[in-house]
Amino acid sequence: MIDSSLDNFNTEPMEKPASPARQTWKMFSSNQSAVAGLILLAIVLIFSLVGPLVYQVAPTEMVWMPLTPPLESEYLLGTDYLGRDILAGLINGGRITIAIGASAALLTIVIGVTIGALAGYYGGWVDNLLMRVTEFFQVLPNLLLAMVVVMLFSATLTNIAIAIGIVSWTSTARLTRAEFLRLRSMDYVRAERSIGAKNRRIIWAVILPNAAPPLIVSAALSIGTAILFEAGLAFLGLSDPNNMSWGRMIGDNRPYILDSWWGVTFPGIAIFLTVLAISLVGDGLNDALNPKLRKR
Amino acid sequence: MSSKDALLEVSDLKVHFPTRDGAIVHAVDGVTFSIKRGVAFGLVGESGSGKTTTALACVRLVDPTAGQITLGGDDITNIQGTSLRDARKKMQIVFQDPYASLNPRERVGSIVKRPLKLMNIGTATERDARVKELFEIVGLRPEQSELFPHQFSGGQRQRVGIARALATQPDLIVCDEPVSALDVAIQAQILNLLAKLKKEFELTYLFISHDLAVVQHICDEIAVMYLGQIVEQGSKKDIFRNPRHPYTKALISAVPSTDSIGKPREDRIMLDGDPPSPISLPTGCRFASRCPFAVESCEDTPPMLREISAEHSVACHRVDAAGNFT
Amino acid sequence: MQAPLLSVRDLEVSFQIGGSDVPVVRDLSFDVEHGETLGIVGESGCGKSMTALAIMGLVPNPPGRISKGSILLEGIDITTASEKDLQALRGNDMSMVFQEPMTSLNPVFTVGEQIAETARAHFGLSRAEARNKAIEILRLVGIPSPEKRVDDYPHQLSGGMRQRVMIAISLVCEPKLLIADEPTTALDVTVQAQIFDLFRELQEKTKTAIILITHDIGVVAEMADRVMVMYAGRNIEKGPAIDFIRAPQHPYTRGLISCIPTLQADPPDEPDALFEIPGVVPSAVELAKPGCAFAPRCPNVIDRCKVEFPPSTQIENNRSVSCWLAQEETV
Repeated sequence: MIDSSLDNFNTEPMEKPASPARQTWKMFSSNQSAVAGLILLAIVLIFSLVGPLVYQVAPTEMVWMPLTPPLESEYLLGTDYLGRDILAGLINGGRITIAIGASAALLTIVIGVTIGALAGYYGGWVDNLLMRVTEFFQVLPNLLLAMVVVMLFSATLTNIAIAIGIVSWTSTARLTRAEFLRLRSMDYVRAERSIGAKNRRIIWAVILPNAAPPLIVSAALSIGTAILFEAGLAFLGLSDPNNMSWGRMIGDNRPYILDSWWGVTFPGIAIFLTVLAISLVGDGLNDALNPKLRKR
Repeated sequence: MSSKDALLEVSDLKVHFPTRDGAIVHAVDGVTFSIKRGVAFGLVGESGSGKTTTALACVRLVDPTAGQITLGGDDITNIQGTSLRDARKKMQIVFQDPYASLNPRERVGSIVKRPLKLMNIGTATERDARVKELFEIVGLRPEQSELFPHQFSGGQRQRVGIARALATQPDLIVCDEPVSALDVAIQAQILNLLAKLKKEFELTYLFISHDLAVVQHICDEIAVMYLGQIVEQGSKKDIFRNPRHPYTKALISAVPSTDSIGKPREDRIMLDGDPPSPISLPTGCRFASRCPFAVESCEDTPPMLREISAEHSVACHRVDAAGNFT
Repeated sequence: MQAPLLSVRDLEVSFQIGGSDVPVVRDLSFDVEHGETLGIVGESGCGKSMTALAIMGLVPNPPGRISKGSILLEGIDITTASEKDLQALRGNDMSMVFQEPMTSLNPVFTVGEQIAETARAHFGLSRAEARNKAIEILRLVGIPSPEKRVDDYPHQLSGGMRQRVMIAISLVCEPKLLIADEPTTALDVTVQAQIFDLFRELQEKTKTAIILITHDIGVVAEMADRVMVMYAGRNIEKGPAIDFIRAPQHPYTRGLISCIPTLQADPPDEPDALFEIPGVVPSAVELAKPGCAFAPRCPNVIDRCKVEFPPSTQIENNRSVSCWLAQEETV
């Protein structure tokens, strides 16, 4: 038994089902600065990931006279106070810097989203407890806490990434909690409960995807923050002695800044460009994922 | 009150919420009714009357503070976990706002199939066939199952919501203002669909609405709520032909009608002000402060809901046991 | 005969949608006389709210603009008036009540301050005088103990009270034209009855003309002297309210009136199925197509409807309808 009006009912033309991801890409690709950021980011990634295969100079070994300025030898960007090649340092350090940034950001997101989601969804005493913990981490001085963690457990790449992750998840947790608070009272969440969905499904498969847009933006931006944080730690001397990173290059060359401007400037530019690229991509994502700006 | 053919029985239901500053909101405060199988039971009232909270408590989407709810003879007031999930197969809900009740990131076919999956009903092929059938039942084309909610109009979304509610072949469907967010022309389509489904699948409705004309059209029995309590309850005929409670009368007479052009109805009972806050409730009749017929005793003691004829009950001091207004 | 208070001619409001200009209101002409109530009826997206905004000079620009026509309020053309002139008109000569009273009130000022501010700007009153004026108007709109309420913030009031405050603000300068866009849709029926009572009282007292925008046929019947029905941005039927209810002419109007359940004093046990207008209202982009926008949903459609929009045809006393069928009947 079908409505007699059925034939007339569906007068709307059938649209091809466009997935939200497709629409997001459409919005993103129409944003010039976001695309510029994405291209810049791609260049940085190719530079640091493919670079070591093409340019095979060891970044940690003395290869030429110390403090050679750029363009005065076969090592184009010059050498540092130990005669190490700056370009090799940039290429190899990029990989490490990005790896630390990405894994610290991943940790930030995992901790932040978990705590924020549980607090926002369950509310009550769970929320109270988790938010007090969050506030505790928020009031601790980030840099000091990270330094303590790194000094206690030795400066390996993993420990540095963990230290950064541990001190920077609080804002993600707050953001996630706010989104969950907003979304948990939506009727479609209620509908899920009425059809027998368990809390686990509602949190991770229903609310989280709907809360994702701001979290994706925040994740992207936190990679940039983590890279800056790593640089900060390295500047203070807390870096993995076995691996070159941009931050470590700046830290190592800091005492010789007056004799060799190139030792700190090139890694500085590399960090600046990478963080800029990530910010542009993050902003682009923010616009593309914001449903209010999307054409209906 | 208890009868064999009652599907849903609610007795002395209370739902209280604490506010931030420690006060208690008495959203639902002692509500008793029962719905027979195959009957559309309407709960009407204005905002703050507790009708939606009552409905949500009946399908256990809000936790009852006190009282008892039985569905098909089983007490579902406090069940949890698996037994609650099992009970949910038999009771479903259609929400007010079709824009908020569908997950924007899920294709509508998947939305309709979800209850079958979550409750382990049928094989994958059977579920697909069922979804196709449901789409046809509610007047959608099965090809549309690949679309996302935002690609539908409000009326079509509401059809998706109804299909989801029908998926597990429930006995009871709670309709929470199912047409009030829709355009008038679309309301008729959805109301006709709901009426048709009720007949075809012998459904039982708990129908929540503030719109008396809609309730009159769909429902067989009606309870009028005011500030967390039922003030009058009876068959459709009792309520509209012979309303006894002053609030029911005021409510009916306040509806603008096409019969009185250019002026309000002559029998309109105008109410002053707004309902009292459900946090600090009056000791006597909750309607007394706005009631044009209130006497002293109304302010002191709350009236009990009592039968004035078979299945017609009123809670008013001014209405005697025979149903006469004194 | 007195010149009409408001005279709208060939109004067109366009919106930039996806790079092209889409008219959301088209060929709209109507008058509002002093002291009368005109009901504008239609479903969401029919352009009724945009018409109201156009009269107030509040079409959001960009993306919208008045692309054609004129709106004369006592001889002043709103479409060409400067923002400064418009500001003087708004409040003094015309004001508007919106559907959602919570979002239309500023949450950080007391209701008294918001009313007094308007009164001070328009009458040049002192602070104390403006406050007294605010209390007076709050009493007029039926707010109990206005001396106390005047210092309340919007969130301290119920929905009905807030809407009354909105009405108080819009009436404080005794406008000649009040535009009420679904003023009671968010309110309960008993409160709606109070608000309409208030409208009637004020109209009696101040001879304010009211444009009442609504989707509720019952409201139109009770409140309006004349009715204009809009569909897909155009006026399709216009006439006295009583004719609109009793003998609607346009197939859409007929459908609209018969598809709503009406409250009956003696309801039947098994009500008949409601009349259905099949389909949905056309989307904004479809409005650019030629022909009558209602044709795909119309039970009486003829070939001509699909290619050409029917002109407004005068039928009997002050009624007009835009439908080829009516055209044929009168010819």
